[in-house]
Amino acid sequence: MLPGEYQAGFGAEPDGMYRDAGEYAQRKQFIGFSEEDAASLRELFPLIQVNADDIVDAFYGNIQRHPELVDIIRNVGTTVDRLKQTQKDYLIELFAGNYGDAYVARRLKIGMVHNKIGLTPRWYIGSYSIYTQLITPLIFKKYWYNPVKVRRLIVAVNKILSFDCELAIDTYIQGMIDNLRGVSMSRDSIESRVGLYREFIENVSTGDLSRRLEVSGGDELSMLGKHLNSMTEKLALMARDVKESSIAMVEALGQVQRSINTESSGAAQQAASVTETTTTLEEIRATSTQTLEKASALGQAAERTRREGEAGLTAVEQTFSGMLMIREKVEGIAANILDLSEQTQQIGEITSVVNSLAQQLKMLALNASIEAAKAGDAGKGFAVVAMEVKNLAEQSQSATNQVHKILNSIQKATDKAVMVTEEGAKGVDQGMRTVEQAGNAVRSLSEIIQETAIASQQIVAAVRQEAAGIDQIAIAMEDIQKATSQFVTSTQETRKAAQNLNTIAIRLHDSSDVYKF
Amino acid sequence: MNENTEPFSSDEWGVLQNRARRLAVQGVAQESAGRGDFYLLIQLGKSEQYAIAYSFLDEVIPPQRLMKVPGVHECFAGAFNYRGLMMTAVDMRRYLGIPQSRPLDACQLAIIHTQSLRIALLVDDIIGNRELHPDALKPGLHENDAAAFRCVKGLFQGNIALLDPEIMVSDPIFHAHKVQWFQQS
Repeated sequence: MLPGEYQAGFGAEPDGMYRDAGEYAQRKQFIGFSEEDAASLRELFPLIQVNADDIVDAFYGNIQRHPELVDIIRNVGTTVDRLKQTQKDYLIELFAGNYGDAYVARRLKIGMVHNKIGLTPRWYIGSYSIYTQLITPLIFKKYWYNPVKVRRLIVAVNKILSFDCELAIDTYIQGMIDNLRGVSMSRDSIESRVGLYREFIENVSTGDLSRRLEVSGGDELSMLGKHLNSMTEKLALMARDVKESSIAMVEALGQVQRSINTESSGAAQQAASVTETTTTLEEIRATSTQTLEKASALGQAAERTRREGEAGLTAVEQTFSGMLMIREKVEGIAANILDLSEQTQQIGEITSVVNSLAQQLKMLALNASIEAAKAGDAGKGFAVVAMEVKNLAEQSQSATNQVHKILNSIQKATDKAVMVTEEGAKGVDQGMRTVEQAGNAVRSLSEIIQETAIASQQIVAAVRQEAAGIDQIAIAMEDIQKATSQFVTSTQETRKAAQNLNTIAIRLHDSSDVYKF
Repeated sequence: MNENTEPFSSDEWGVLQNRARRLAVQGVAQESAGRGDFYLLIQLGKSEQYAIAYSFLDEVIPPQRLMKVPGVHECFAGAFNYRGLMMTAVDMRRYLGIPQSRPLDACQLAIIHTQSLRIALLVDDIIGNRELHPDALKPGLHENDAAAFRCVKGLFQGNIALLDPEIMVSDPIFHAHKVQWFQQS
């Protein structure tokens, strides 16, 4: 099914396999292919020519559904579009009506080319069935009204396709014959060469790798001899490598054993150190736990101190507020006492006025008594009244004197009270300054306590982190201890393995001594 | 006493008159029983008491503003306007040689009259009046023979010296230095 240009490119010539014309005539006779069939095929020529493109498209559409066929086309180096034109020519030639020697030669050439490119018979012969399936419906469609004609035309198509199929099978059979023709050799020659090969193999089996077979030719036995020589050569090289490697291995294993011994000793020391470190770490962890407890107690104490400091600050502020209130009250008392003093002074002035009036009244009473005395007996009654008035004046004067004394006492007391309140106010001011200083001191102390509390909390957090870190270190040390133990065990096992390897290497060296290079 | 401002009723007025009448009768009765004379008691110095008979007295008055008069005896404290008349004030403390206990402007004045003079006595204080019986007058102590103390007639109750203004104004100092114009015309 390839185009003619590629058929020519393979150099296939059908001349070697072409039979005489009588044989092909006999084949046509056998399948009943007659001139009437040829005429029927020529009758179909117009129909096929018109539908050739559709038939070829459908044909390659079926081929492209099979990857194996697509790969064959790709390996040939052409495309489906280029193949379609050649296939169209092939199809049209089927219905050209000339089925002589030239037709047979072209068909044989096509079969050889397909054999060469690896298109197996199942694909090639199966393609005739595809043509049958594509052409038959066209015939039925065009001549549906004439079943006899349809049958005649279909039979003719089947006959020419069967003839083409026979020619294709001829090409595949001829290819197999050509392949078998190259295999031919005498039995004596084979036995002689096999004997040489057996002797050679016996020498190799005893360790003699220095000898080689004399080989010439391209037959299978020659190829076998070449392969035996190559194998022996490779065995010699491998034996030499094995000997050298075993020597190097013995030396290397000696070094490995020494290193393992050193590592084993170091691992044992490391294990002891790790154990000692773990013990020390346990002590550190216990100390850290105690430190954490102390730090927690310190943090709690600092917190209590902070609260007490805040309470002290509050108390100082309350004291300051209380002192302010006391100062206001003392100032109020001083003002009241001053008012009282002024009122007392006013009372004293009033009392002085009253005293003066009493004195004047007393004087009037005396004058009245004097006038009464001048009147003689007639004035005696008036003298008594004057006497009573004088007594009342004297009593008033005495009373005002007592009031004056009392007022003096009150004045002194108020003066003293004013002095005391002023001193009290000064004392309150001093107290306020002292309280303010104390407040500042307590505030500073509270700030320091606050900072101390924060620092103690940070210490607690740091110690807690430290404890957690120590725990992690302890866990890590336990892991290290386990790893170290495993390392010690592994070292011991490695030492044993190295000893075994050394034994094997010595044995390998002894074995390689068997071979001769 | 009626608390209202309305005048006393006739009944109330009658009660008051009766009461005044009884009081007057009682005082007269006491005086009659005592048969004494009334004296004005004055204080000179800190504690010395002197008595002046009512018969010499015109009036007692409060301290007055005195005008110094040059060229007179030191016992004359000054002169002042007494009811339109020029009145001479005699400082009894200086006259009797008693230490002063009050300044001049704080001393009170007793207006007296004698047969020849009307004069104001300047004293530290006027104690009051007292009814004293003449029989109770005892002779005074004459250890001081100064002329001024010749006006002390005697002692009542051992501590009240009775002054005699007539004897006092007979002292030449009251008639020297042209003091006639002090005399009441």
